[in-house]
Amino acid sequence: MIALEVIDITSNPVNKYVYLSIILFAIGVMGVLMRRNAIIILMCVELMLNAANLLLVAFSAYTGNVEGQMVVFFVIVVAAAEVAVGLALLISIYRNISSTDINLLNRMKG
Amino acid sequence: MLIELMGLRKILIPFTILGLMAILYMNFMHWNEPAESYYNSMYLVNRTTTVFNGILLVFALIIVFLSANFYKDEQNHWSDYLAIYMFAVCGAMLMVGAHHLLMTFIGIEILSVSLYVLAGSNRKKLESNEAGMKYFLMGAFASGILLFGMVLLYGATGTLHYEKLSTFLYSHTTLNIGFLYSGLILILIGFLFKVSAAPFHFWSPDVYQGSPSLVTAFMATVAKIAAIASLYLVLNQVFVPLHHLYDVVLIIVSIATICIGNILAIIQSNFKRMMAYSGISHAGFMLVGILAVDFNHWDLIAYYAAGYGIANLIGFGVAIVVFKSMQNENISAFNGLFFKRPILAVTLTIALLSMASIPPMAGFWGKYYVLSAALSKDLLLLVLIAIVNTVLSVYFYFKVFVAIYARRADNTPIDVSGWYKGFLILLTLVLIAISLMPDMIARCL
Repeated sequence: MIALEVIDITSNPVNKYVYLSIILFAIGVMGVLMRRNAIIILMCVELMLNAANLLLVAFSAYTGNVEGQMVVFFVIVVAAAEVAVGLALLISIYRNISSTDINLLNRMKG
Repeated sequence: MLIELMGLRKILIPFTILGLMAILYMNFMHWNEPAESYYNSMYLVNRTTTVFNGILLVFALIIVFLSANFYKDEQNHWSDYLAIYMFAVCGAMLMVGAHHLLMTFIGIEILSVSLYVLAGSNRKKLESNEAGMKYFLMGAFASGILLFGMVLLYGATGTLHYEKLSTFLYSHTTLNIGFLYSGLILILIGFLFKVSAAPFHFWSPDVYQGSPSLVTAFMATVAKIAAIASLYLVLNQVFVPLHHLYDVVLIIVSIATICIGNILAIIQSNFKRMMAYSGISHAGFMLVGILAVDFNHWDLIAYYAAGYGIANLIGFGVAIVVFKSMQNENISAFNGLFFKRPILAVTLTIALLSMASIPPMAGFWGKYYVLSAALSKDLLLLVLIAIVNTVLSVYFYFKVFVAIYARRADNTPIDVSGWYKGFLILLTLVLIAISLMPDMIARCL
């Protein structure tokens, strides 16, 4: 196993990928929290998962450990399944209220 | 599905039950065996996972029994519903047995994706759609956070395997602290989302209220207990060297969870919403267990989970038939239940007494074990707050008792078949049995 104590986040070839994926992840989180359109929220969740994928590949290539790249395949499959279910739910909601605005989903309170 | 094509819909439920029993049997074949691992040591079978998986399988069996009555009117979709329930149980068992963070993540996702579908499965009803969509958005968000935490952990240590991670954390003192800490915090947030602990609980009341009742029962028992067990195993197998970091977080989160769950449950009039808040406060108690119980005393958490789950399933089992006949999901639907259906009323009373942790019941012993473990760790303030909240919680369970015994009944009859009543009585006897001999059960686990 490769010990990674040497990673110093400021002077290391992998750090650009780290910054990039943290920015992507933050964009995804902000999108989920701030946008009100269900489709855009779905895309932002995908952005979060793909930020994680990018970082996995970067770490994996940097350390020469293929475990990370293997994980990426599984995450891609999971993300695809999530999108399929999400869009199905979206369609069944759209049939009922003819909108994808999640602010309209407020029938339950308390 | 295949069985349906062959026109054998009648044997679908017995077939599922037989299959689950076979899995239960195979699960308990590992009871006294040494720990064994599968799939390149990504899945571990030992005594702990055997017991937790056994509990989950028993709950799944009960749910399948109840589903025969709950989905009586839509027999065309029996195979779909049962298949999705079975996928969810499979995910829950993967979560518990996982020995690699990727396996944990996949287990969580199998469980959650199945539950998104089930929560939205009543397509005609807007509440159900809304519950499915809310659960999906919150759940996918939480999975994203969890995954990012795992990736940061991978960056700090170079592996995701539980054993390698824990040897790494024990042997290296000069780690990349930033990645490690932020990874741990993000993983904790993801898990706390799934168990609906306090700052991340807001999805649970809406989802519990909107979903079909049987799905709510499934979420309150199988999904919650799988998440608790998985969190417990991850923290105790991997992150023990860092416990000074997450102990504080768990103390604050469990105090907040217990208080918020109990206080907000008091003002609810919808039974399912009330059960959601009561489930939140019980999750808080189980978090106290995760915090305070040593790894070789995991049987206390298993006992708490079993008592909580069976009481919950009896409660929902009664509620399903009552709601179906009364067309109403408020506590007022139980008005005068004792005079209409005394057996249902008594089983519901026993279940809720256990959830309110009145002394001889399983709920009381579960809380007693957890809190005495917390006392031995000098968490006096936490224990005091938990006891005050337990007393408070009696109030909202008694609101249901008042409805059952003191309110006047209307004339709506409640349809319930004989075998369904017999099944509920059987469950109640099981609950009483595990209440009467807590020591013995906790010892033989």
